[in-house]
Amino acid sequence: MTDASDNDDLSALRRLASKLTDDDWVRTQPPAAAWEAIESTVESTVHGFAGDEGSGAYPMALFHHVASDQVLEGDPPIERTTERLRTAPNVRRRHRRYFGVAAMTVVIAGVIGFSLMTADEPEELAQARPTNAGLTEPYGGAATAVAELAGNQQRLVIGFDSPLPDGESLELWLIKPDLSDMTSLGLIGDNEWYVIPPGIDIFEYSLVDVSIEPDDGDPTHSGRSILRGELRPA
Amino acid sequence: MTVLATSDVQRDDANETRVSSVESAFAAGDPRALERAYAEFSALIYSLCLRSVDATSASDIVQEVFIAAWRHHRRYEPAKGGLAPWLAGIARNKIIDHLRAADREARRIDRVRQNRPQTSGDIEDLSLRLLLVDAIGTLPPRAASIISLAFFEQLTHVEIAARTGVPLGTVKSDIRRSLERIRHGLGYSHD
Repeated sequence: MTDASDNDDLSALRRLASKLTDDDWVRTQPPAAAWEAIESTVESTVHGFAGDEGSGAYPMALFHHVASDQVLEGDPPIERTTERLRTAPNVRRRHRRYFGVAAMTVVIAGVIGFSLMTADEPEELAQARPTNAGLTEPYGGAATAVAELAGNQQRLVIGFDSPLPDGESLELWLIKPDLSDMTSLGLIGDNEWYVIPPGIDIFEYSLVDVSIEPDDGDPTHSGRSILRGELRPA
Repeated sequence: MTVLATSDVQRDDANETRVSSVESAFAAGDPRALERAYAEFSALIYSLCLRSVDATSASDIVQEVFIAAWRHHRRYEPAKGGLAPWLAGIARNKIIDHLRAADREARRIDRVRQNRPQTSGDIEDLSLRLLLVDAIGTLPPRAASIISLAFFEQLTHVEIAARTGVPLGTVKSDIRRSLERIRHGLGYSHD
């Protein structure tokens, strides 16, 4: 770290510090119920709760942001007018509400974490065969998706018959056939299944969609679907 | 001349070690890390939310932030910056989503054709300010005093040394180390 970069950072931080207000020094603890709700839900998160993700670390551009008087004085419009889903310009990601205590039994197992207690065998509700047909983003594979009911929880199991695009973040969605609304089931990882949020009717949000998502902190659908297929009753 | 108090060193080490330990554990998916991270950072996230939305929504967003963060804990990289700014980034997006949803219900505007609300810049600026305050709060008393003189009174290193009686070399090293901590606390590190 050079003296010059320290000086640059010091200047930028001085500008940031000059904007501090009295309220900025105040911290308020959230209500106790917030942690209780997190604790009771985290099992869903471990098994693939469809949450959003933040933008990660701020890049060096942070200080360019702070150093720009123009940025500090006003808010540059953030260009989000791109029609993300090329076939449905009006599609918006459904606002996700936290659903509180889930209707299932959760046991906190100490060091090994949380475990779900249910003796129910999953009941298959619907199947889909998402393919790349008709999509503008090329991908040579296909998938099989099964919506199932495990206890009181709906979930989606998806398997891919070809390797997924390397180095890309992929997100799983359920979308209404008229493309008027959608809900994210989260980023595709090594989950066994992806929780379908309570209140989502899989025959209303019947399109299973997999999209390539840039790591830009934007929670909306990128429009770059590689797989799509409709759930049909089992 | 100010003599470095042993307690200053101990507090510095304890604070930095504690936060660093939480960050590493969280990235690694240690089941206890979520609760530790919540204990460490929930006030920051909740306070950020309260400045933009009502208390009930703020509580909802806090829950969503920590659940989403835990869900994607593998994407957090301690070497790239602190857990606090990573969580704040998630919170910022969720606040924006909430404001948009509320706006949509109130005004029924075609959201796709509309630019993001101008408040996103306000929220980001607010987030940076809160993170800066928290980062200063993790510094030991002497370093916090020195960096405060640099930030808020715009004193030079020489002026700080003259004001405090701390040797110039110590002032410089305190500021350098403080800047490293603050960079981490704001979410980036120089490679």
